[in-house]
Amino acid sequence: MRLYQGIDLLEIDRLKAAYDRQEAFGLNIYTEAELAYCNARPDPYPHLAGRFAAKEACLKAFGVGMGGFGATGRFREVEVESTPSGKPVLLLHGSLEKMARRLKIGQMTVSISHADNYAVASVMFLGEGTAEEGAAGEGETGETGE
Amino acid sequence: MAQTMIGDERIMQEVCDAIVHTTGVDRDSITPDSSLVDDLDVLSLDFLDVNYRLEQVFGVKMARNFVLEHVEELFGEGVAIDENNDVTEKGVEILKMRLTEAASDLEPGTPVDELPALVTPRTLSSAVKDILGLLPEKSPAGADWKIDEGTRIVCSETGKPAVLPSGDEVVQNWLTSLQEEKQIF
Repeated sequence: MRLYQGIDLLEIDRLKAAYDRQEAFGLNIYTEAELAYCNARPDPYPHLAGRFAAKEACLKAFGVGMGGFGATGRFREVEVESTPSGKPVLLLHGSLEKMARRLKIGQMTVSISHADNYAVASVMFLGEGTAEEGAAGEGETGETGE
Repeated sequence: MAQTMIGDERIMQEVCDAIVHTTGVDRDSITPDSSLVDDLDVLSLDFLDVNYRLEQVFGVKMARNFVLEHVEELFGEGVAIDENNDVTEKGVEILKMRLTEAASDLEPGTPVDELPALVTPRTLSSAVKDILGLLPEKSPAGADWKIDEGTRIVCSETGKPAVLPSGDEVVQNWLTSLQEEKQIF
């Protein structure tokens, strides 16, 4: 088996600034269901930041980062769904869903937390194949990412 | 046509301004070939912001999907990225054509997660130029174009902004033409 891991830490204020400044930011990054969930909260920004961190962590686990070149479409291919208990679950779409199939990924877990001005998310996949060096998607931004 | 309306230097200047405004990095530290990730510490939220600023400045829509994703969508899964998430020989061929200097040292087998480091002010400028370069000869009103507010192309008669193909459409059209011409895939 092979383990894939990604983690991301994000300042909520930075996410809020981008979200408020860019009129299409929400629809470029989040699915409609994610926006509905976050906007139903008294303060949506910690939830939006947590989901952004989860998306970034997921991309790091895949080892693709956001791909640069403005490849922001990948963010919408990672969807964080909330179960009735509040536990987040990852859903993959488009090219990432295909990549998961290619890598024969079975289980996926995501954990999100936020406190003060920070949101953090960790994503793990379990796939077929052998463990390789690190087997951890560090993403494009180093150890803590953002 | 648009390249002559908004010159290369102006586009590069706006790209650098977007990076400075987004990241606060010293303008003098930016060169056309600086890696946004490796040299300027641009992070994913910053990428989004840089693209957004360029869209606002030029009235364009930057690509939402990476060129290799378009390759796989058009020509089949596994064509550009293999089962280990490494770039294939054909993927490298495409990137070298698309990114020219930035991808000159790229080899097949390069992990996909190393590709963001190839983004430079020059590649972003090229992406903007590619979109602006598809400006029709005349506006829908049959009039010439003019530059408004320094960097936006509008109809000289109605003042309406030019409607340009998105960055994704530009890449898809380029790939389709390339395939017709060279039968790479």
